[in-house]
Amino acid sequence: MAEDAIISFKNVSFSYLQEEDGSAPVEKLALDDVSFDIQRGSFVAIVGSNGSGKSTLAKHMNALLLPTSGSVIVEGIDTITASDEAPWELRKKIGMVFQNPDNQLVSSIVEDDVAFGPENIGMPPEEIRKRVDESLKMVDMYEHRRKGPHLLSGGQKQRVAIAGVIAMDPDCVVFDEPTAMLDPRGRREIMAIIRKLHDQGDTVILITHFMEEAAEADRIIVMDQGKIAADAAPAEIFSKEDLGVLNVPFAVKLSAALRKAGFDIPAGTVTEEKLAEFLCR
Amino acid sequence: MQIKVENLSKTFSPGMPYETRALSDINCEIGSGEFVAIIGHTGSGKTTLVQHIAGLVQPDSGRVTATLDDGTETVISEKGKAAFAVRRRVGIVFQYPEYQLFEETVLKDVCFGPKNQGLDQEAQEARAKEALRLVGLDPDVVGESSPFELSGGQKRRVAIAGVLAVEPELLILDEPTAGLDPKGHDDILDMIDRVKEDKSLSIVLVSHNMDDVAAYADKVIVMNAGTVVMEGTPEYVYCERGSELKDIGLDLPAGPAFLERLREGGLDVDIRKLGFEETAGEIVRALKAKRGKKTEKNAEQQNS
Ligand SMILES: Nc1ncnc2c1ncn2[C@@H]1O[C@H](COP(=O)(O)OP(=O)(O)OP(=O)(O)O)[C@@H](O)[C@H]1O
Ligand SMILES: Nc1ncnc2c1ncn2[C@@H]1O[C@H](COP(=O)(O)OP(=O)(O)OP(=O)(O)O)[C@@H](O)[C@H]1O
Ligand SMILES: [Mg+2]
Ligand SMILES: [Mg+2]
Repeated sequence: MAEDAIISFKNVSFSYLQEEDGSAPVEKLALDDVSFDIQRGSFVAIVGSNGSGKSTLAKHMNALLLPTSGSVIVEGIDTITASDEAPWELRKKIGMVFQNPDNQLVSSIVEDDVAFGPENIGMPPEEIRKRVDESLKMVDMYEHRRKGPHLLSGGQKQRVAIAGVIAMDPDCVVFDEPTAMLDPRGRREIMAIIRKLHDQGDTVILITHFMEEAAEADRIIVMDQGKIAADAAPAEIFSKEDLGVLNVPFAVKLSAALRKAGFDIPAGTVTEEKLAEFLCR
Repeated sequence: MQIKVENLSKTFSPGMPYETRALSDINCEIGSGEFVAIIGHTGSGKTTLVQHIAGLVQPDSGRVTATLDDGTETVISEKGKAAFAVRRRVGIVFQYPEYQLFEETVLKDVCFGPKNQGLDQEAQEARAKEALRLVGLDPDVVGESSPFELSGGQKRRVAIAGVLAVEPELLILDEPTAGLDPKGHDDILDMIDRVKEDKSLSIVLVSHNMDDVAAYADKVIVMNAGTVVMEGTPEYVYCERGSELKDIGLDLPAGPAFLERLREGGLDVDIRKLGFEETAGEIVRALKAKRGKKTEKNAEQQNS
């Protein structure tokens, strides 16, 4: 494992046991000999088609699932050992945010919801108060702290779910399609928080089907049928001719069209921000 | 099938502290064979409106009338047998439909609608298999799996197949592509467009994706706070009235949105372009004009 790796997958394979109608359960291979390291403080996007194993991969990072073979090492500790001895310790280090905001909120008041995790790990009450307030401010939901989650928009609910995760002070947050159910405004809000977490030094892992979002990461891992199909910087990933099931971010497609028309767009221009900056010079 | 919505209003939890006026005095039409998109931000009433069009919710006032292709008119927002019969010809793919999968196997789940229509088992399965193929799933591979053992995007496809299997005349899709991979996203939209042509369906698509709306819709209905604030072709809504759209907090499609960014950055572009080619062409034009000006300036400086 590299010196500064926070998460390390070593030859991880995982099979689900699927119950077929009537007959004996069959194994369904969802991860097939996967190895990679996540550097501390990095921002990694994971992309790939439906069913390629992204969520299964994510659930291995905090021992919601354990490998069938191989090992997952988080902060130097094997998740199999960790899940036996101190599962909450692991959940505290690696936070998870899922797709559907409705399924993640459990309390009838926003701030109780954010306090749920810290209470569960036995954080002292003064500390909880402080962390809940800080987290709600971080996601810009502090004014809504006394509201019921049912009065919030999807994007607001998702921000509360994120506050609940960061209240545990994790070292790494894994986002599994956090914006899939949100409107464009909600998506922008969540992406702004992800950027903020990364800027303040947290490790961020973002699973997404939006290539524009993936383009903002330092590194993109492409999953295909349980295997890693590619693992590189966005500029390199999107420079390939055949992207398979992926699509090209708008900025990349536009850069290509402009190059064709004779304009010298710098290689590695993958975000609209960078492209606009260049064109307006 | 053609739909006419007249003076439709709906308030949830009337008299309660959280009373919500979800729709106020809505008027709109969906033409036969038309592809209509409904946009508006979260909570603007899109889902509530399509639930009324599908006859799932009774309005407080106003009505929804369906005209079949043979000319018969039925008010479907009222109770009664006639309305019920017509409502069965409307298919709706709910927002987050994967939460409605409930049968033991994928095939049984997709057969549920055809079974309710009284088809025999063989016909049910034929319909179900065709629908699964339409959404890009192989019935021989996933047919016998439990719907709960599928990935998020696979569940979404099964749910859409379930509605296609009843062969509706009006197909309503409430955010059908959320959570689908890019290829699945394009496949589903192409598929919708194709069945629309093949089976002369009318389509209502609720979407947050302005690029899809611009690419596929014949007409766009814009909702804000429970009212229809704009209605027209994508060109009209995004190009002619783009700034009003932004005022109510909605986005433009990627092309005009990027052009606007360039204009804010000082490049002299016309933002009223919709498709990718038009957008790229406009940027090329503006860059050439800028380059021309620079050369002129340089020449002037050299002359003086
Ligand atoms: N609970 C389960 N039981 C059995 N098989 C499962 C289960 N969950 C997922 N699978 C299977 O494992 C594979 C990987 O699923 P996973 O959910 O990791 O995909 P994903 O990449 O996250 O897809 P999506 O983009 O649709 O969310 C799929 O083939 C799926 O059918
Ligand atoms: N069953 C209900 N009871 C009470 N209020 C409701 C109900 N359904 C919807 N509402 C409220 O009515 C308003 C319109 O909701 P609707 O679901 O139609 O919005 P939408 O445009 O579909 O939003 P989204 O983009 O988030 O799906 C919202 O304020 C919502 O909270
Ligand atoms: Mg997933
Ligand atoms: Mg809705």
